[in-house]
Amino acid sequence: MTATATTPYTYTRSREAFARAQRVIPAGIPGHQGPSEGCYIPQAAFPLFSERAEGSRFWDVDGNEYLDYMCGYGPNVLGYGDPVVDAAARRQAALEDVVTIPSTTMVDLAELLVDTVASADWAFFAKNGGDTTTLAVMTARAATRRKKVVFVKGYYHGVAPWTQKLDYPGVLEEDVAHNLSVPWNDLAALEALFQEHRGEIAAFISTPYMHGNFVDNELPADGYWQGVRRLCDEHGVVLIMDDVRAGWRLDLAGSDHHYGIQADLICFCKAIGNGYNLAALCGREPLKETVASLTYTGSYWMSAVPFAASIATITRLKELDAPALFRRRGTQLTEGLVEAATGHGLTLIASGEPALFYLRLADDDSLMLHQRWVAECVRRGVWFTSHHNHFLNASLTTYDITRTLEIADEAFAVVAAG
Amino acid sequence: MLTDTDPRVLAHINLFAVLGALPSLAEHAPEARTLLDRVDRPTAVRIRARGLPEHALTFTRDGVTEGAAGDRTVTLLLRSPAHLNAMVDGTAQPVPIAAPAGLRFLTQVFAPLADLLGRYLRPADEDLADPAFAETSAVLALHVAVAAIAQVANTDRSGRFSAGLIPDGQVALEVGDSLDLRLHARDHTLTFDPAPASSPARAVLAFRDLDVAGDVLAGRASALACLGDGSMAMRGFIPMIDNVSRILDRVGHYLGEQP
Repeated sequence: MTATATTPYTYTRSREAFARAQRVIPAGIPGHQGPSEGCYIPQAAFPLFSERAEGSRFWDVDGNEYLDYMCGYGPNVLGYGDPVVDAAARRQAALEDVVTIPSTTMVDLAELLVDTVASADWAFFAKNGGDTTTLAVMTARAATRRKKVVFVKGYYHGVAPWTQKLDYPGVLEEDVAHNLSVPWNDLAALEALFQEHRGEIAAFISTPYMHGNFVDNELPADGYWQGVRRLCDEHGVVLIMDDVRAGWRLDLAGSDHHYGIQADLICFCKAIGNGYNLAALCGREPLKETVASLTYTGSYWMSAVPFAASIATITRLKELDAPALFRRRGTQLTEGLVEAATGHGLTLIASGEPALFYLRLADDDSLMLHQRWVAECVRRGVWFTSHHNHFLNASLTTYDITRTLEIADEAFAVVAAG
Repeated sequence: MLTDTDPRVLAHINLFAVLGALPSLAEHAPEARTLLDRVDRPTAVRIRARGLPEHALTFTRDGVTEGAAGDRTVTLLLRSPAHLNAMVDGTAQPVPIAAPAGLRFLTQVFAPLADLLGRYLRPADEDLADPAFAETSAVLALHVAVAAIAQVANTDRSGRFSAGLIPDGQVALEVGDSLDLRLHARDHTLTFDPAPASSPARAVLAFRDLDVAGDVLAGRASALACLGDGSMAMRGFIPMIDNVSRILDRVGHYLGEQP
């Protein structure tokens, strides 16, 4: 990172590539890694394509360098191109990857997950977080022979039709007819809903804390998860923890363990393989045969390279005590950012767990000021995002944090100047 | 996504968004001035359809305004929302309650203005060859679409779901530097305010120009693609934009071409 890289970036090659993309790919870059869902505001302040990545950084196609606090939206947990993980993947790739029958590496990883994750008596592998949340809901319905699923308002559990909403294009009313919701941290509402639909609810699905977009993230109140566990037990409801986003950053034994309970099913993806494509549903013994009875599979779900990468990733995370590292680094970073904002007369709110901090400039309720600040950071080489929680990776150094604070301070100055 | 539509919602759109564009037509379309010159005295038209709120417009030589304030009142009765929809489609007639002068107003002013509105909202290719006509057509289509967003948000089942996720504040739909149409959200009810904006919006959806707005509103271009290439932009509290966009999609179910 250049010591004083304060000249705002330009993105000529990104724009050229995007023009090509728009001709052959719907929306150019669809989904959360594109300019629309990614909330690139203004769009001109953001690059659109990366070229290479290493450790805590990536470089766009114009050669601009970024300290990356999105980590590929989570998968980068040890650092891009971690040498230990990549070596393990290369060794496996030299042997085999996608073959007619699976490698025993799959069993090795399942054993590691059962040994590591407190609520895991078994593991089932897939590719994306949504594969596991869908499998979890199917499992709950098969086990309970009930239809309804309770969500927490503002939820995100993937993009399968059952996870979407009545007003989403392509989603039928029938797809979401059995979805119920309660506010976060509201045990009374959950109990009332369980009572109202006694005998009808298959599952309660939630992230370990409320890390929704566009709002400050909220941690569970004291006793909240214990209360949820009790209510689920009383009503025969399967408790599904969606740990796709927070998993491997709060607690290597699972975020349910972090907050003092055992879920019935827990969903992992993102950080599980440091970027190698893998997802896992883990769960407790009583649901193992139910999962075994389901028809659920995919062409690449038993590829061996990601299993080897995941074993190396989890082993390395244990060696580093990564959750403690993330807490320290996240606290140092967010406290520095808040202080820098204060120095310019601005109020920055950092919420959620430090490992997955969420930022909001609270000086206007439209969030336009916040969007300007994020854009100024990106144009100077710090990749923050406007309305999504961030992610830390273990290669982030204290020097990186210092440099981030310098750039953030400069961006605050630009915003404060009007 | 609901796959069916509700005739009552369409009637709200026709009554308040389509016929609600008559003031804007009077303001922007030169042919409307000629028709309004035939107004001998201020005349209020009350449109009453069973099951719907009344909508009144007042016509003067200077223009068309919301509300009933004329020296003369003409009432158009419609027996149902479907009857109203058929009237706007041109396949049914209302029952007028008016004195002879009022009936002359209907045939000489109101009906030709309504026909002119239809010509601008469903333009022929030869009309669109005239840049001035095309611009006015796009402005009126935008007014109708934004007004329809409010109607769908308040009366349609899917629209109400989306509006339930919109917090209080103003959403601006901007076109270039010239147009700034506002939707006011309060307690999850949306109101279209055609008056010039007087305070900052909490969220803004900006179209580069009327061509982009027209293409997106007509479904010829994807809003996502336009946001990507910079011909549209958004800023502010994005969930408001997100949910207004979902309602706009639903408006397309009512006003767009059927698949």
